[in-house]
Amino acid sequence: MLCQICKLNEATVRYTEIISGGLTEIHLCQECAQSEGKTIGADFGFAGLFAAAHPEVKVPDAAGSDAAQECMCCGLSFGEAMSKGRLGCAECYTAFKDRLLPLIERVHGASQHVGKVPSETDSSLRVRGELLRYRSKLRKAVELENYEEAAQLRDQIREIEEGMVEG
Amino acid sequence: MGEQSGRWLAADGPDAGIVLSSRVRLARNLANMMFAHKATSSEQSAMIRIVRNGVQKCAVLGDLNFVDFSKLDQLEKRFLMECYTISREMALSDGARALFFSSDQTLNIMLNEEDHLRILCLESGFQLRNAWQRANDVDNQLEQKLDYAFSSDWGFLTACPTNVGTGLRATVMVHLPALIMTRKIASAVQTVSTLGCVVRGLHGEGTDALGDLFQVSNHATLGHDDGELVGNVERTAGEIIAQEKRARETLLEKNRRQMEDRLGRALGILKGAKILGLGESIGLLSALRLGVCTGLYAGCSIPLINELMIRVQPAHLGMLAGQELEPLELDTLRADVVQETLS
Repeated sequence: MLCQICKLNEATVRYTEIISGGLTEIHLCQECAQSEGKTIGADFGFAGLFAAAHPEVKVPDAAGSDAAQECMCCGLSFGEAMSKGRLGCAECYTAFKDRLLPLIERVHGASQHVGKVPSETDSSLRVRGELLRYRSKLRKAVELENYEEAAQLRDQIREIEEGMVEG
Repeated sequence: MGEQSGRWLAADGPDAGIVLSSRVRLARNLANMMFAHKATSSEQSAMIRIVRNGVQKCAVLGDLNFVDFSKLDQLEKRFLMECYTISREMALSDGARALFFSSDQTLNIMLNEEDHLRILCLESGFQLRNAWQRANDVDNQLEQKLDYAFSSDWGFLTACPTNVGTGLRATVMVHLPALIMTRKIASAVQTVSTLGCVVRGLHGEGTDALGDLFQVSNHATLGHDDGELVGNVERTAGEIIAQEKRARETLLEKNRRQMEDRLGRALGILKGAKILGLGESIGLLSALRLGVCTGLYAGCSIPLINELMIRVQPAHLGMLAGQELEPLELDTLRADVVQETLS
């Protein structure tokens, strides 16, 4: 079997990826394994094995006006962003919001940040972040039928919401 | 950095027989600046100056060493990559890049890799929570001095949408030779509740495995809070570790002779070969590691093997020789290094 990355050499190494119970295997030659293998200790982005294992993550070539749309701030076009697998600046997230949304949903299974917030952030944004985090936890607790935890979370949420009204 | 090997190789963390390292990476960008790859070189240099200033103002980060990549040659950059300190991307591309690192290499801050900042904490063995706490502390310190690109909808804004949100990637690197030998790797991992984690590994066809190393990390970075993501990786890795332990026990019970044979052959080649290729040496060291961890061999320690796995890499050998080496020279020096270390 030929290496699935370079398609030149005989494949003698197997790359295995398991996610959500689904198994992906890619057969590589020694050279590609060694060059990609060095990334085993690092992160995967759009390039290399990640792209080979997840062809569905790449948005299909954006056609016409979609691809040409540009970010006002850095000048990057959406088509360019998708082919590089990278955005050009923070503003791109706003400029390409509608097209990024389905991609982000597909990769993360979510589209709303509920994690850490910089301490410098405006206090109303912090509270909003906190509420989102609690509501997300509440949803999960209910799904897992942890009703005691869910009740506690509901109380905490109520407290924060009351605090917002008064404050 | 050449003199001292990373403390994360010390194998003194929990479950060091199976877990090589635990690491947490946080990706951050400065607000109001182009992402690294779109910035001009003067913008990139400005970014480095701003972060350097910020780091210098943080008492807790006072001991960090600083390296300007424009002062490094190709060999030195590849050396850093082989230490798992920087990514391949950072080692091989151009542009203004820099690195802060602690002397024991457990804390690294990459500047202008894919994102402006990548905070990376490495711990030996299964200590994911410690790695996270440390990375988190560093991030908290830095955010007091720097203005991060952040939105309440998307979280920390990263160059690649696969990192947006928490920007957090938690990874546990595990050695799973028993699961591979018993051909149980796929089923073991699939039965484990992966909790949104991805398990990745490279291994060779047949018995000549390529290190049998796998990574367990979180797939998503958005939609969960940081603690949850770390917890999921911890739990998933914990279950895989348990599976590997069971597989090792089974092998010792039922296939002891084969295990001893595999170990004996690995030792024979490692100690006797005069020419040793990279792939082969990693595979043999993996077999040796299994032998030591299962008590079949007491002639060397796990930290020594961990260190060897790093030192047999091409740029490490090049640094040792003081120059780039041809393939045959590499394979010769490798055999010498291995023999000397194991004698």
